[in-house]
Amino acid sequence: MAAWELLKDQNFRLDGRKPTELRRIETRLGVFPNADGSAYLEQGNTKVLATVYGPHEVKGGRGRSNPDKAVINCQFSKSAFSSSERKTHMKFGRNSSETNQHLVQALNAAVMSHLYARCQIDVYVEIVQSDGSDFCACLNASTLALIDAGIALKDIVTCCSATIVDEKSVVDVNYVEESSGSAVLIVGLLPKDEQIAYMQMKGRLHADHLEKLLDCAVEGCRNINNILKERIGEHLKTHSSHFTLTRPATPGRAERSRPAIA
Amino acid sequence: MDVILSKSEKIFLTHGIEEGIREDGRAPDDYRTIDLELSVVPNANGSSRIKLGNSDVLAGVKCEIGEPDPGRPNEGKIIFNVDCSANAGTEWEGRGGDDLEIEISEFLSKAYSNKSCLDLQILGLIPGEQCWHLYIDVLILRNGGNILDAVSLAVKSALYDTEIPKVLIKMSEKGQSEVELTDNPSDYIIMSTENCPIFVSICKLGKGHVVDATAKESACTMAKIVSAVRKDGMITASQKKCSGSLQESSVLEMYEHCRKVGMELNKTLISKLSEAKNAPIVGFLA
Amino acid sequence: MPTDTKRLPVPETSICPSTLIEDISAKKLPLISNNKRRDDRLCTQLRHVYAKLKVISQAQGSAYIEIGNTKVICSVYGPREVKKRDEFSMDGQLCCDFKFATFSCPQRRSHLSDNEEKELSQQLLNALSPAVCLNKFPKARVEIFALVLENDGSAFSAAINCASLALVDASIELYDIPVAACVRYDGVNLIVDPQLNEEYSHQESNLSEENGQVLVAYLPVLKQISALNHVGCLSSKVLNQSMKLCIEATQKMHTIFQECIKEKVKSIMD
Repeated sequence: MAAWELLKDQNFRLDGRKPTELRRIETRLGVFPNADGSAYLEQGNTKVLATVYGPHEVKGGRGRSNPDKAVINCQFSKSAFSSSERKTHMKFGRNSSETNQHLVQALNAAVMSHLYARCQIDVYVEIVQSDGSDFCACLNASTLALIDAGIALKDIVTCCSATIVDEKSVVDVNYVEESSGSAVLIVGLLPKDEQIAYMQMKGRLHADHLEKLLDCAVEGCRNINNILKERIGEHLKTHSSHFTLTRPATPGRAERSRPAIA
Repeated sequence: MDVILSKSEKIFLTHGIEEGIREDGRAPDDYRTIDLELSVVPNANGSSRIKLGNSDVLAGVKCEIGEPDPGRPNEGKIIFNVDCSANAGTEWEGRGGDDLEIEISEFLSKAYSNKSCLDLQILGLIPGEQCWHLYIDVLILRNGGNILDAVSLAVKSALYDTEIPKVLIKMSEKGQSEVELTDNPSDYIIMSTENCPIFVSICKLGKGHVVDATAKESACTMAKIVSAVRKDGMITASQKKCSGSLQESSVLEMYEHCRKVGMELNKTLISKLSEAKNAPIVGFLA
Repeated sequence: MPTDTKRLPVPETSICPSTLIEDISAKKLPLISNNKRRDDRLCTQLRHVYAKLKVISQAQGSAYIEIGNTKVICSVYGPREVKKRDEFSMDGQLCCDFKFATFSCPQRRSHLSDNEEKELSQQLLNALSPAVCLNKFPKARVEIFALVLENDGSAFSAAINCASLALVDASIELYDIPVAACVRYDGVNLIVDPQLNEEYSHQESNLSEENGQVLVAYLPVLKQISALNHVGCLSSKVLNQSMKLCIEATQKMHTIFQECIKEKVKSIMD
């Protein structure tokens, strides 16, 4: 990939973005009415479908159920025509079970699983089209699907990738940048508490760059979080008539105080 | 989706169908609304998405250059692969959908095995050495009954949408032929899909039979006949499914029915395909 | 069964030599000349049938059948209790496994079931289950294993026949004995019980367009069709004719099987 000039002279990337610019994000909640929750997310040309079933009784033997909290079960799959080269995705391949585990870890940090003791929550993710940052899109879509399912979350867990191109950090990596060989950092963030729920890095990176890269990815997460929040708000406005987003006027002090007991 | 129905619910549905009344008010040979969209997956050479009632199917065709079968050196190959996405329900998680995947892909390859369906000669490049492999991948996103018919519609539409890049065959210095792709992306060939079959499943419930059964109706089906019908009414494959048995006379009746409905549906699909080709792509955001 | 794909040391890219030989032999000949087929049979003539019950001593019931050179062996185990709680049902369950022996076809078969075999297992189940009194063994399962030892055409119909004889031998209550037969259409003639070089295959190039093969499994006493399967391009008229021919053939087969069962019962009584 050396032939590609990933960052042009005026700091524009191959697809015309600035280094800190995200790709266009489109979302839709409630794609499959038969599921408890579902979401569709487009992050540039990466397109992901996520569905949530549950909370329901734990399947596959009682041994798996946890008396204190919910069991989260993820299955990630990638359709054969999703990438430019056809690949039949092995459902039980090492790579996908690893991704499943990573999704579970990231979601465990966000779901208030103590509310769903002895239950199971299934999250199924399908990549319809892949153009880099697959895992980020998967995690973002699963969060949306969990919200659509009405499952209690501590925060909207958002995920973003970053890489270094010519000593400059670049956010929301696409396929060409991903395959250029430099290190890619993926961060899942709980933005409210500024907590990192998930972090992964592939490739070799000089230690001095790490902080810069991390800042860049975290900033990306925050931006995605803002976008997702807005989208969720729009969805609620159009889809639930009982729900008003405007905050009720704060009651005056007099009303709030309890009547004195005679 | 497995629908669990009680005995009395089944009797209610069956009696209705014997009288010619279905749960959603359709006539016995009516299909549900079909939504068709082409070119939904840009990474594939051709793709389509079919929504048949509650069933939702995505099909993608990808062309790759490979070796032809030694028995048929001048022809390309078509390979079917069906994937039941776990998105459709928890029972398809892991290996849950395997049986259905095999059932559908085997029936697809049977129905398309006849050389009159698709001209495989077009896919041949260098005889005995290289040819196009057409990988037809079907992704089932939601199963709301009658998934076979939906799959066949999606496959036919995706093949219609398929643009196979034109290829130049050059002789190299050593006297071997080489394949070279053209640089012009608008230089492609399109296969004729006129003769591709469409599946019509007819379910027998009590004394009546219906096409395009919903998930509930499939749950009370005793026996089902699936046939792959071409636009001229020829049947390229058929099979009895489910665990019931049928009388000879009712089999003949059902075949006749399949043929009629299949020809009608073929006609409608072919006329709608050219419309869909120019329609804007909405994908999953709609 | 361990799924070790490397168990047999066959190179992945090996090709069966028979595909490379120009078809000088039987395949180029017309299916019918002078009213006789390639093996001198008439159009509606069946091959010789040999059937034997009780061939595997450990199995509850078993049968062996030869139709011409096609040989199938089948064993039935059960009814056995279903161990898993969530698999209980008030009707009995059937479980079918259809397999080609690795050496049975001109081209070597894998020892693991391929998609075709898995699909045929499902079809075998659909063909047999209308005939079995499933309500007689609730919460239990009957397992049926059919193995094709030599495939010389019409192997799947032979497997259905063999499986129903094995069910009889296992004294599992049946409403009727499912009997299956095949008919091939080559554009002009309908021929019953095709052998391997007469069977429909899309590989053949010199075919007329209308061409195919029909399989019917029939319950002769109840007069019901329990399995129906066709490949190849056929008009509904030909489809009807071939179905009728199949049913005629199954009735002939049925009398042979009745004799075979009668003899078996007699030998037990003596």
